[in-house]
Amino acid sequence: MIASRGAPSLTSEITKLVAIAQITLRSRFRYLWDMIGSTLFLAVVMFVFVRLWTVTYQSSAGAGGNVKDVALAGFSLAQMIWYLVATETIIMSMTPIHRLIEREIRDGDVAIRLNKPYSFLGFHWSVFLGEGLLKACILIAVGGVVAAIMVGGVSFSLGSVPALVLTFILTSTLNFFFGAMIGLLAFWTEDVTGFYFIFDRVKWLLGGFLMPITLFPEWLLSVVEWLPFSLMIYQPARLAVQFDWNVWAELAMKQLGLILVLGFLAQSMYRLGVRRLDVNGG
Amino acid sequence: MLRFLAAMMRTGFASAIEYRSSFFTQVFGMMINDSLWVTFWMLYFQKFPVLNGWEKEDLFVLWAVITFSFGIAFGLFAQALRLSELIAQGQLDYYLALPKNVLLHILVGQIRPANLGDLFFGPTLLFFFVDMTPEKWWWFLVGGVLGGLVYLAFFVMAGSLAFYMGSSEGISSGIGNALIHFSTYPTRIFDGWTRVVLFTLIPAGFIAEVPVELVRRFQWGDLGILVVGTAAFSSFAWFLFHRGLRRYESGNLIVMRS
Repeated sequence: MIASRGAPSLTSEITKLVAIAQITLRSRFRYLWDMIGSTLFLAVVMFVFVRLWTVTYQSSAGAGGNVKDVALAGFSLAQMIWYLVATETIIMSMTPIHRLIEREIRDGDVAIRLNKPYSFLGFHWSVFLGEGLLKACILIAVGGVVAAIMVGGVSFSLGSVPALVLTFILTSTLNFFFGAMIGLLAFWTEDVTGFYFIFDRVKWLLGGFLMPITLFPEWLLSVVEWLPFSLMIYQPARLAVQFDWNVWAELAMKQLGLILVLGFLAQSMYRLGVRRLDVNGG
Repeated sequence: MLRFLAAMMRTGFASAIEYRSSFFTQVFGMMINDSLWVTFWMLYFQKFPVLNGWEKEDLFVLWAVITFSFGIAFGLFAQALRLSELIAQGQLDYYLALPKNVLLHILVGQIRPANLGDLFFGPTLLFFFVDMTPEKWWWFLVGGVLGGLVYLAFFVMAGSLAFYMGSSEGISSGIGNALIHFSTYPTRIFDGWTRVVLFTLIPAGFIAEVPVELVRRFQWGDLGILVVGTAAFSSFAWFLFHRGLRRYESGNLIVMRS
């Protein structure tokens, strides 16, 4: 009996994390309309993007040219807009995990989780993923409606949906560890807002959030290809509009590798940080 | 009244700078955030040099104006961002009990270091990247301050919805974000009814277009439009808030002012 109460097995750990994700999903369903309301902002964002890229494609087509014949960085206008729906879905589906972790550390709430039978980062990852999956469905619906009305659809195979769901989970996990590492800096600094602005916006810019990285100049593209950010935004979003099984498999392998690296770094930061923790009061 | 505003801001600034490293991290963090947005536009204009008649330098002026305006509005009057929350939770009692104007007192109650970063970013961008004359600097200041008032007025109107709707934080921040988003893009990309909306319901045109035109090529007509637009939105915000204040219900909360 005593032996069975030692370190939890991987299966029981996963079962706990899945249960936490399910509970989060159920609780967020209670506030579904609030969530739908807050994602309506995406309609405004997409409207502005459609206008910006329509004007860009029109000027590239030239006087008398047809916008539908123009491809920029391998994207037609419709694909460009759907690509942006995908990047917005990835980014807007994420809860501000850096802020949650920062608050728990600063307020001392992190101490409450120390004696719980699950890992600190695992708990937050489950909540992050549970909420992210629900938000992503709503965001795709809102963004998709705007895109479909304004530029029409793009070719899409329903068979790719399970693979894309897996890609979304891997992408969310990568972004989770990235955000968590920023939040964990709160063990060492008073406020992580400044770090968040810097690291997160670098990720946006070099990850292809606002435009595909293939529109970057050659010198920058060669730099960006060595950085992890495109795995967090550009590559999964491009896969959503130009699906290919070989690309999917290659992307999944790269993302898994990076998850292991970031996961290890985040866990190490947490362990080092907890040693410095002083909590007063009760 | 000016002495009161200056004293409140001095106190707010002293309070914000108390945590020095946090203060400077937020200010510089926001400046880097803004510069990365500008970098996006530099990359865009490297690929597509002209956007409906606008070139890279025009975008620099746009970003300088909107960040400066935003910094004035929410770096110095940060509580405008929390207005709907304060109203919905019945937290205005403190201000009602004092002899100063309630709206002004609320607005000057807090300095937001991150948005002070916006305030500094605008002039810095112009200084390094745009060929400026003293006249252009002057119109930049005028346009930026008036644009800041439009931001502030719009957020006061959005926040005042809480008097009429109860909890309106979601919708208030939603329409506030819509204004911010529209104002960070050149309004020249919009046409037809959208442009009408941008000078009425979501007044991004008064922030992102007219002040920019003042700097690019000054015309008295543009200045007149901006002054009238700012006065109209500010007056309506003032009216909407004070009308709504009659419906205010206290939350009987004991709160700490920070």
